[in-house]
Amino acid sequence: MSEHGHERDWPVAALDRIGRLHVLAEAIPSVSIAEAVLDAPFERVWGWVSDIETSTPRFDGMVRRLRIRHRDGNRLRIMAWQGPGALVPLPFDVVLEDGWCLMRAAGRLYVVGMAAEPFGERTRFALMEGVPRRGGGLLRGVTGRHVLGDVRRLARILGVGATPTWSARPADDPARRRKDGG
Amino acid sequence: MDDLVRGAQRGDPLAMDALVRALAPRVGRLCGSIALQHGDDALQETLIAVLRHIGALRDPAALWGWVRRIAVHESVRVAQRASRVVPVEDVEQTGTSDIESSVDVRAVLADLPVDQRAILVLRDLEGMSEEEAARLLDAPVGTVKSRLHRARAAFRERWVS
Repeated sequence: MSEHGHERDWPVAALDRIGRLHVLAEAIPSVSIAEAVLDAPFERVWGWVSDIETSTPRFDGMVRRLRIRHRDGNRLRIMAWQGPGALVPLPFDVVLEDGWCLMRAAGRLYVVGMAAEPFGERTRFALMEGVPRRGGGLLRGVTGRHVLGDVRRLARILGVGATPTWSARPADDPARRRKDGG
Repeated sequence: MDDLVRGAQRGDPLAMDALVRALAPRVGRLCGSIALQHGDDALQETLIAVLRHIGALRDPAALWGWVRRIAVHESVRVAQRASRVVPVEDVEQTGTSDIESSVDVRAVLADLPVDQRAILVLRDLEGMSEEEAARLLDAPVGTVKSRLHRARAAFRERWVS
């Protein structure tokens, strides 16, 4: 109740999980993000993706093996073996929820974010990766191609079509051009 | 909250995410009330600006005042930018003040200039004094008072109509 006696139902703006991942991608230095609409329902997409021990080594071209070492609610501690030659696994702290997964490697050596939202009978899916440090931008060309490739690989594994809506290189992205009025 | 701020200042992605989640509901009320249909964009722009500049916040206890200032300025900026390019169908839908008996705050707010909306939100939603609102908006207190008077008059007019 305001001081003028009117119960005001103020309009509220909201941020969905895809929007939240874009906020992080804009603010964390040196990461890349790709987004696509997948021709499959949210439950099917996230049901497969959220089994990260199985899904990540299959669709992420840089991860050979992933194991969950500890789970406390939505917080996980995992070990990831990256690349074909990596013998020593990299530990990650993870937040895993419905439609959301954020992984931070020890020492902030790497970060991975995944977000999904229902989009009618389809699913908006976004993937962010990179080295979250100043200077990590030297690798952005690599991570940019990597996240795009991973999203396409995910669609192939699920056997569904994918319409890219946000590229890893914002200057090339039609959605970004519209947003910026360009 | 202090731990989240310090974690975000160190560049920890998990802390940055937790800070965004903690701030989004309150920032969303500010952005939604000032930027209206462009509130989601204003909210996103605000949170990006907060994370990018979090290193400049010396005292974590001052977080909300600092965030509120960014949210108001981003909301006004986004709303003003959007108002420069208004699709014809939007023009036809607004300005008629067709208020239902169950008060449609959004419709009343939409008829106010964005500077009046911002002051109304800071006073009535945030409970700020006119002096505090004036400092936040970089405007003279007299200007804030007159804008607030006009905004409340418009509200009263719609409510009794």
